[in-house]
Amino acid sequence: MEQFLFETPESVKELTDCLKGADSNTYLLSGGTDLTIKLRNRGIYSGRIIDMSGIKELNYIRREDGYIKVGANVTFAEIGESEIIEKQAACVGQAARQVGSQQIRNTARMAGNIANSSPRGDSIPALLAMNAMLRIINGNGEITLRTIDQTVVGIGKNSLKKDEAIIEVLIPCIEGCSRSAFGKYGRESSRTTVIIANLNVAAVVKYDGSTGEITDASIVIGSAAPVPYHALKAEDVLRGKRPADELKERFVAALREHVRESINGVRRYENKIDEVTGIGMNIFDQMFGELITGGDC
Amino acid sequence: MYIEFKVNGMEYGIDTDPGKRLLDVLREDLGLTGTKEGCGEGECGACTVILDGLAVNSCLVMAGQVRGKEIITVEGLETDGELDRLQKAFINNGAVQCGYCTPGMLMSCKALLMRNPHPTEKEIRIAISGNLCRCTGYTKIVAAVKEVSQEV
Repeated sequence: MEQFLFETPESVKELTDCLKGADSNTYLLSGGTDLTIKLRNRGIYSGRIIDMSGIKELNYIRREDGYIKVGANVTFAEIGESEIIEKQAACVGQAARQVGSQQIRNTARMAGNIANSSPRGDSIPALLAMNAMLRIINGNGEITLRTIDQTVVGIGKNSLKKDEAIIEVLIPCIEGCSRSAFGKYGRESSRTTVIIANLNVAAVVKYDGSTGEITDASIVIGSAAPVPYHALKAEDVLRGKRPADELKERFVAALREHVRESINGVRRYENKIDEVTGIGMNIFDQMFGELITGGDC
Repeated sequence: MYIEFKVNGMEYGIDTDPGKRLLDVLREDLGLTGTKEGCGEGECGACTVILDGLAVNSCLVMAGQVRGKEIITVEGLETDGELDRLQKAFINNGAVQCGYCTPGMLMSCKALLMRNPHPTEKEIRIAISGNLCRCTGYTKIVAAVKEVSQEV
């Protein structure tokens, strides 16, 4: 009977030893919520699985050296409940709380979500908006740092080599006053959770605490293209302006224009234009309205 | 792979494919058929069990991942033949109709109450939002959990 060879490293050093011999039949197991389904759907019942869930030294969320560092073994539930994340990277916490159900959040890891590289992944737009980086280790113990867009390169495609694993997510702490927010519209409109994104948006802004002027903006649209992307026109609309209703309208109009370009005339995706309208208004209100979702000021 | 773990307070050691789903280990290797398969993709919650105190979809957990861990299934709720107060509340409030979602629903509710004995309605609804029920409209399930949460 076919069986998997299951490797259970308990340290990063043991992980590198496991990664040394990785080949096309080697699968990295993070939480397992994507991998278990993929293997079954593809009829794969043998091969080598490297289970990262036992590497306790990768269970941490801490603020260090100007970054929020999240170990690869941290679950979405833990990220969603983290005060550090809520204070410094609210959009990442919001995205984490909207992944799947409580059951899935208790198991799934953000590192796995990134490596899975689904265009509908929720953490990826939020991390891209925060300019997050990934610490990646290979079978020789060599470390590289890569950005999100260097790693997530296509629909279900990442740039990781077979002997590489994400061991840490680094989210830069923002100096000064900032706000961030995440919004998502699901494919299955009848449910409030376990919804796969049809459109999601993450926004991070910096602003002058004394004048209220927005000094910088990072707006990322997800699920509208093979990979999430910066909404450059929406970012330009916000920079140098003070929040106001008229600015909200221009911001939303820019988002709509981006999505219209992304869908490239495919009619069955036209609903994404309306979805980004609603999401855009909500995240603008979250960042600048009465509901303040994070930041130091 | 020989895997040791605890289920409903009992120690088990089994030699099985580590890539096998926990759902199948429970049902086939241990004969605990209370946990149901609804979708096999983590969308319906029928297969929910409690793993080290947290609700998880057993259809998305591999056997190798539960080494050294503690699992509670629906069979583990009763004690010496007496139903858990949550099970009694489900019955009292008409929260069981066809019964297919019930094991998973009970485990999601139990996991919530283990961490938070007095949840708000919003917290109850969030806890069960990963469990689909086609019969009750969820209101009776929420009422059952509220009944338990109001007990001292």
